[in-house]
Amino acid sequence: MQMYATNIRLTAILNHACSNVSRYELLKGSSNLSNFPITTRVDVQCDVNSFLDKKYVNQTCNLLAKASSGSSGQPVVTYWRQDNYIRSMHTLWNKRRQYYGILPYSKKLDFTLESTEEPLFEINKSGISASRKILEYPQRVCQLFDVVEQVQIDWIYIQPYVARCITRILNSNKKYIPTCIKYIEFVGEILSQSTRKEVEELFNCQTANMYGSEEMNGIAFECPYHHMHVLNDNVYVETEFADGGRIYLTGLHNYAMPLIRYEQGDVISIHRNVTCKCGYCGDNIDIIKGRSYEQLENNISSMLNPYTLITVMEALNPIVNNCILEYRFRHIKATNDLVLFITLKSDNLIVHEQIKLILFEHLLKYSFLNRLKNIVISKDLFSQQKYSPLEII
Amino acid sequence: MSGGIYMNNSIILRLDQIIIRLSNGTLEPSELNDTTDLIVDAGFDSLSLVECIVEIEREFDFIFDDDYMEMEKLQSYSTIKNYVLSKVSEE
Repeated sequence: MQMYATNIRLTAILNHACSNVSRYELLKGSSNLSNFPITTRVDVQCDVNSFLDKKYVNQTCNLLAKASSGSSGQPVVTYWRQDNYIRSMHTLWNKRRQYYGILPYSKKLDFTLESTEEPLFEINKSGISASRKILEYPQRVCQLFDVVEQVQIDWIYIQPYVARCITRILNSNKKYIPTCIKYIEFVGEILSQSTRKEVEELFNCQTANMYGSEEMNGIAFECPYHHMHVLNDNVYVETEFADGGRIYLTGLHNYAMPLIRYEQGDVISIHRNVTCKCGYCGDNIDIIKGRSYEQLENNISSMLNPYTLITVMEALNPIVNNCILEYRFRHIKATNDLVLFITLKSDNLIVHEQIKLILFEHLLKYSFLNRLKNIVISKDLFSQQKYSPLEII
Repeated sequence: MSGGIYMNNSIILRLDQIIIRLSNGTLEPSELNDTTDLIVDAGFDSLSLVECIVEIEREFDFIFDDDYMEMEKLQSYSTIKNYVLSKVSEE
């Protein structure tokens, strides 16, 4: 039933695009998705007009403009008719309500405030918006959580790296956690099991992972049974190979600027046609492996990527009594070398040597052993930007 | 017959409460009528309209049809009211 509805929406948007959007007009009469070209971010950035419904070309003032964060380069601007945008957002909100009892007017704390100086957080209509810069001031974080209680925040919308930092600050300051927080949603970065565990232990509430983008809105959302369900109501998902690879998305609601087979830039693995205890039938995204440019191929074609690096570090950390607080690998393109930066609970040369030995063993599996040139103990890995365990320079 | 009218009134009252609450003080209950435009008169934006839809769905236990999700329909109080009444009577 669900796939039937998705297919009807897909056919409708393809037909609309062929008749009204210059990029697709040569495909008129074709409702076969595979005939459509893959669209990249660069395609959109270079010629946004060719993606717009002709009636909005140079007439975007009545449309909503949504810009991506630009964390992987230049931002992509997507234009929406207001009703299409509402329809698209509705899918995710329905799931939030169904799974976690969160409604659009539930009070939210987010970390999207773009400010590098005071005020580092502000109260607004939807709750509280804070800047990531606040992580540099533990006392301000504690004050923020006093305000969280005053405002009676219901849920937190947060990047995993920020969540981990906040959790550690609150823990080390023995801060009381307001019981009003019912739910935490992780967004924007790969979520590791250890981060989730740390956050859940402190906040003692439900958590879920959400995969979305400004171009598409919600793409996949985690149900209470911990499966990342594709939001088939909102997007049609294709992948490079049957079981995953690069993700290509077709938005089912944006008639002002249809994005068809849009290469989001992530690499995933997918499980098709699943039935979940939550009542969902459709596709699950099993693993988000990181951005496509973060997939490092070695000489035997196995991939090292942010996901595999997280897996390696998650296996390693318990062996060294969880003494690694933060880590980031740096890949140097020119030499193909890897360097690992770590922040330890305490400086300890024995632990440092132990980490080196275990890490070598793990990286051997990925044939990347000979590429790891150094392990650097760093005091501060704090980043204002989106966190990735792999930095490429 | 009077039972039907009573039921309709109760539905409209619940709908009105949602809209008044989401208008955040922009709209007084006495100002809400069939000519009310939720964007112009109640100060709704995209998010408030999503809020409104999700809240109506929760309150009356139905899902908005795709073809209803058009701006002219979503911003008109009287159209929403009639739609809610028809959907609830279908249940």
